[in-house]
Amino acid sequence: MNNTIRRAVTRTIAVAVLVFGAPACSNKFVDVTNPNVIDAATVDPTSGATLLANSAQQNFAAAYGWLSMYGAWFSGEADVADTFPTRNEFGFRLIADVNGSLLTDVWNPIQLAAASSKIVLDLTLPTPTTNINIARAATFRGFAVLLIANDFCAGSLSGGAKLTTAQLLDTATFWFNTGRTVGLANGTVDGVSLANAAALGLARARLQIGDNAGALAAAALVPAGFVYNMLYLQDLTNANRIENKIWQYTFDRSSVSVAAGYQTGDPRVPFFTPAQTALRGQDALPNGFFPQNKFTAYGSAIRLASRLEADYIAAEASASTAQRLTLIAARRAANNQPAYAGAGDAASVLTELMLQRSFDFYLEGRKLADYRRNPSSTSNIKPAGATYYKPGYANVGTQTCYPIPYQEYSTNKNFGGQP
Amino acid sequence: MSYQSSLKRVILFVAALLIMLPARALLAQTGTITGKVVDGATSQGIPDARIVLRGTTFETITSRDGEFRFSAARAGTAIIGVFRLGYKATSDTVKVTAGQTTTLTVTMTQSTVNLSQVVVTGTAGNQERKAQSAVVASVSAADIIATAPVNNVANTLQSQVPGISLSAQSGTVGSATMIRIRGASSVNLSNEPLLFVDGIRINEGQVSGSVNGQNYDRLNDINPEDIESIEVVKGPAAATLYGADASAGVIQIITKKGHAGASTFSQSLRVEGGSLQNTWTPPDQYGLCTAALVASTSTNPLCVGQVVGFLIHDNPLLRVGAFRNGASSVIGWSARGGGQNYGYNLSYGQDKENGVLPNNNYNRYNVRSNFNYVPNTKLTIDAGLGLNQSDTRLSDNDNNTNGWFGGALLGNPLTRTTAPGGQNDGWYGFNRHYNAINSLDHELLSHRVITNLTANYLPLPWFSNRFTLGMDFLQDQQSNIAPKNDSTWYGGLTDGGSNGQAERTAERYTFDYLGNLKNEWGKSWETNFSFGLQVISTRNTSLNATGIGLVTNANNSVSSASTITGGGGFTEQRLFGYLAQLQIGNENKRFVQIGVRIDKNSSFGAQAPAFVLPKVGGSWAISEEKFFDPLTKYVNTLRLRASWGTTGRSPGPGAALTTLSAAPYLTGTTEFAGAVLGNPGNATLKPERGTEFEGGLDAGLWHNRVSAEVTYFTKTTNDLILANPIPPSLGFSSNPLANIGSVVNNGVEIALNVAAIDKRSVRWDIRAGINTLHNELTSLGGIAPFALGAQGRTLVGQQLGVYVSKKIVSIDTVLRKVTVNDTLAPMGNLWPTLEWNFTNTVTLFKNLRLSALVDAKKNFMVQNFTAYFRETQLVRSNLRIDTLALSQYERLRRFGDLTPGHPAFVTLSGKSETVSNVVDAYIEPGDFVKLRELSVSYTLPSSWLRQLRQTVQSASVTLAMQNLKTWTNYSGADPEVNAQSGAFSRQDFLTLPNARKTILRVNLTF
Repeated sequence: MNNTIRRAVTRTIAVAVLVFGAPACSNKFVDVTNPNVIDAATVDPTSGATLLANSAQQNFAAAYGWLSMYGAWFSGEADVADTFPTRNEFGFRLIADVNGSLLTDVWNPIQLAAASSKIVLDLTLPTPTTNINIARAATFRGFAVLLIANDFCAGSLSGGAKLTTAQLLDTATFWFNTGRTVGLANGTVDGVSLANAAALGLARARLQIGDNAGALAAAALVPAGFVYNMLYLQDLTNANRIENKIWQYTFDRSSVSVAAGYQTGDPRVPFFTPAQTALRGQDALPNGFFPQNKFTAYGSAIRLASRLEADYIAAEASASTAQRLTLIAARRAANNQPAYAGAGDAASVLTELMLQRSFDFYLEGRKLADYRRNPSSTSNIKPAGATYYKPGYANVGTQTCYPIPYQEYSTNKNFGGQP
Repeated sequence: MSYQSSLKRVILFVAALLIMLPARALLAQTGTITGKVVDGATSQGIPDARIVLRGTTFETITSRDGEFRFSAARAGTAIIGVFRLGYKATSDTVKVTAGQTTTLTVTMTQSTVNLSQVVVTGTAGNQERKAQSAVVASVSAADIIATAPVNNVANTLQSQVPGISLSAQSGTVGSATMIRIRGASSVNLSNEPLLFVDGIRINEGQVSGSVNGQNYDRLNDINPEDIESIEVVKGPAAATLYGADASAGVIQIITKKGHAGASTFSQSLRVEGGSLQNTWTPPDQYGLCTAALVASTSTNPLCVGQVVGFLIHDNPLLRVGAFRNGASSVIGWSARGGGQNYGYNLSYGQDKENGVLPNNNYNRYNVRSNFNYVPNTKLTIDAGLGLNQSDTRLSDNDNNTNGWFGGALLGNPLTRTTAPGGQNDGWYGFNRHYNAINSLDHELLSHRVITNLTANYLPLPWFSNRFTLGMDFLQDQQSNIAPKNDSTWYGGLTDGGSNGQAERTAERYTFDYLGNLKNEWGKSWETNFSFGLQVISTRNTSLNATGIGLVTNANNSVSSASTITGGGGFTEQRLFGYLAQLQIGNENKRFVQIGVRIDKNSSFGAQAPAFVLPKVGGSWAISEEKFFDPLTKYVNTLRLRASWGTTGRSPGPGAALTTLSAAPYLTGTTEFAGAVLGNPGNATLKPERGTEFEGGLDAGLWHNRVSAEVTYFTKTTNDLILANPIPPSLGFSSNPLANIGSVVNNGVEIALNVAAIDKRSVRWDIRAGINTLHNELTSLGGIAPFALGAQGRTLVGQQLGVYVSKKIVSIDTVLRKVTVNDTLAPMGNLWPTLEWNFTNTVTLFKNLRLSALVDAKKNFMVQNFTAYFRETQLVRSNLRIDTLALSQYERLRRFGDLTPGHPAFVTLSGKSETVSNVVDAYIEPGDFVKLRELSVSYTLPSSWLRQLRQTVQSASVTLAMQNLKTWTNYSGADPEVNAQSGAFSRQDFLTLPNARKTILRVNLTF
């Protein structure tokens, strides 16, 4: 019996030691890998600078599509054929600061673009005066900040203090200058191209802040024939990041309908009438769904910078009616439109210039800034108090820019509370 | 990693095998015990009673006739314990003579209260209920299945245990049931209880990859016919020993086992057929004819020839006969038997259901074998193997504007057409009509293996060891197919045909050791010390591919598509926990338990310490005290109990890490690997900590014909894991998780069983359950309230996910002005605060049994998003279109001011507001009372069966119905359904209501 007891207890204890000891001897038992996420500690930011800088550029490309579409709804380029009430708030310019689309589709993507560029710019990289990653990050941080300044009534960067539009434009100016300088010094085709895009960005920033001389000077730096496009590609897996957003929301969701003021037949604003397309608006529009046909594929590029825009900026900044009329005539002729026959006073010519600009840069996210710069010279924007084109909503509001999302000012201790 | 983990698994496996080696052959000095367990009232044998031979590992179950047998029992005095749900536990002493057979008869009496019942869940070692300081509810699945239309585990638990709330989220067969035990307490983590099968933790919860608002459910894989009983651990007070993941409760499924010790064999066959019927009439869609549509050239059959503005209506679902009569069939076979030192239970089941909407089918096949081997008095080995195949096809419906209900209830009658090849024809969405919706196929094919190996080793009468090793391995194949069409059925590239395929595997391994030292100290005191280790490892992988653009539907493989995308993922989580519990008993009527569990988990933050979970409790069978004797005339049994304990809920894999997210970038037309900021991480992230006190009593009154179980609980969850919002301008894709905030759940649970009449020819049993729930968010840790669910919010002082809206303050019908609050205000409860159920069972002449179950949920709201959409978004409802259908006041309340150019609503501060934030009219009380089940069951008399030459030992026929009638003021289809898979929504949005089910079942035993 004693042997039995001894054997039983010994055996049990041995097994107990084994089973207790196995995991206890090694905390590595709970050390697992999870490839579903990327542990930031596994990425060396310096050697990964190219990856991060290019990712930042793509972040901007994604944000650019979103902002161009929402800007089109807000500024009267397109009607909201979407059922989301939050998107309709852009249509009648009465956007609540708790608007979910404002946060997730507009503010977050452009802030990601700005913040991801800053990661690269904060690195200590080799040959900083010629480093292509710095040129890229600076240029796209400049554009990201420029779009925040253009579209939002105020801003904040990286959880910092509230910035006015002018402060944002000055910040953008700084980064455009950096991008241009480093890009030119880099000397590669890529570097020079970034430098030219930065010059155009610089011209936009200076024009928007009212520094016409600065805008003229910067516009003059953009070489003839220059075009810099944001590129997209059909990629269903990464649709939100890689594909042309406006085409997505035209073809997949039937949400972007060309506004009546742009249904003129001008080749710069191609579209389909309801009879010409099988697409049906996601939400009914009283006058029917007129899908845009400027961007015709998931891979359609959206122009970011061009000599053409530099010409427009120069014409506007010069305040020369003659220079403006020259450009108007050229653009009309190039697009099979009759010659301008309107009044020749400065205000009328500016209005026509802005109209031509809005046709040329249709759905490219320019018109909201144009409107803020020249509110009385910008066409096809419903005035405050006008009836919204869909029933059940308020009249068109008075907003001329987007509010800061609640999520930002309520969590950003440096912001200073509700604007 | 793989080498180390493999090595550990091998060590654990060898350890288990060591213990299973038989020490010696059967002892020479043994005898045999045979016996029969009979009902004291009827003298009939009682099947499925559990018989234990105390001081050994011997255990068996009575046969259909109530017989049992132990061979190789030690010579000498032996104590037999007998347990059966619904009967008072009893024991008997027999003298075993070597080489001889001893026979005894054990008589049991029915009892609605049973403190001697043994529970295996929520405690260390099998414990009598009397010693349990916290409630562990037991449900006899076999008894429920005998009368109710049950085809999944959720049905088995329906209205059985106060405090467990079940909601069938859709009337689609094969879709999920939401289970909540004592409310919800996690915002970012699962509120689903943990699931165990015979001690093995299995994969629980809903399957990722839902079909719109419909979800596949892991719980559906279990065949209820394989279940002997279900034990439910409700909260932290009882679940402490389940560790840092059990704060939402634990459901332990105990499967049917064989009969060791007796040479028996029996088979049973269940054959069932039934139907499912939609009892809901969908509303018509309305429209006003335009000039073009009334013209003689119009192809709209409803408008042509009418006047402009003529109100037309259409009902696409009814017009095309979309609803069908569903059908169900079940075949179940099982064999149970055993020999001298082994027993087995084999079963096969197939369950087929067709839902009331097209393309909705559910087919499940189960095979299970349980084998138990008793090599000697010290060792028993149980091995279980369950195989399952579930094939679920879900209709294209639910929370989908383009599915069956979306297409029909949002369809526009103005698009009706007689033109050949006409487009929408009254359906909504691009050109998605009946044929388009009917062509969509969503299917999940799951294969699953659940296996367990348990060894009980009793080296000494006072020292027991239990080793459990097991695995749940499942593989999903999911497909979503949209065939190519020449029209624009779906919009976008999908019109070229699409085939989405996903394969997932989920592996969960469990190793569990439990030692138990039992000592008696004199005549009065007893200690029971348990200690153990539990190790659980979980791995999930996924691989998916979608092909879009097919040449022909005849060849729709992904690789044949013009555009192919894919993805995949892998997560792993491991935990181990040490546990110990000391129970001190005094005179077998006063008990104190103290215990602790210490957990480590791979998902804790790197700086988070081990998670320590203490518990303490006491139980006092006061009715066994001398001073109670004068009261025993009325109160036969009374036990007081109180318990305090803690559990947790662990964060998900990788939740604590600072991460980047993969995000490709383009250079030219080539994509390269890129990254964006993911989550800032939190190195101190630890589990949520649920702390619960529960106290109550179990009482048996009037000769134990009335039993009552009353429990009060209060559960506080601290260190709530919330996403701590950071400024979006920091550029992170998601907010870091932090242990902030707290939630309180408390309530009272009452279970009542009454044997109202207990005569020879008539028996009337009443069972009632009632529970209250107070759920309150008590702290958000300083962060601002945020949206939770479809229309809910986190507001301190309110229920988690309380409905919110800008509340209407006043309605001026003259000025047509509707004034609302400036801020979102709470509009009502998400969770019912009161639930009750009431079951009456009448048995006539022992053979005919009638049973009815009524249950109710009270004081909660449902977001009627279907009505909201039909009235305010895609306007199809006559309530909006027909201006005379509602009073002016009600029109203003629902829609606001519709005058062109006027804001719909105006806030107190004068700002305009839209109907998207003023949803008073669409958050409706969901209170209901439901006649859930009605059944009649007839057991054929033995005399009839004798004429069958005793081939059939028993036979019964059951006619049962489910979801017969709902009494509610809710205006939608069904207040129980939910279009959202998230924990914090109760939204009815184009969701199929639960169907009425009728079944006819025949049970035969051979």
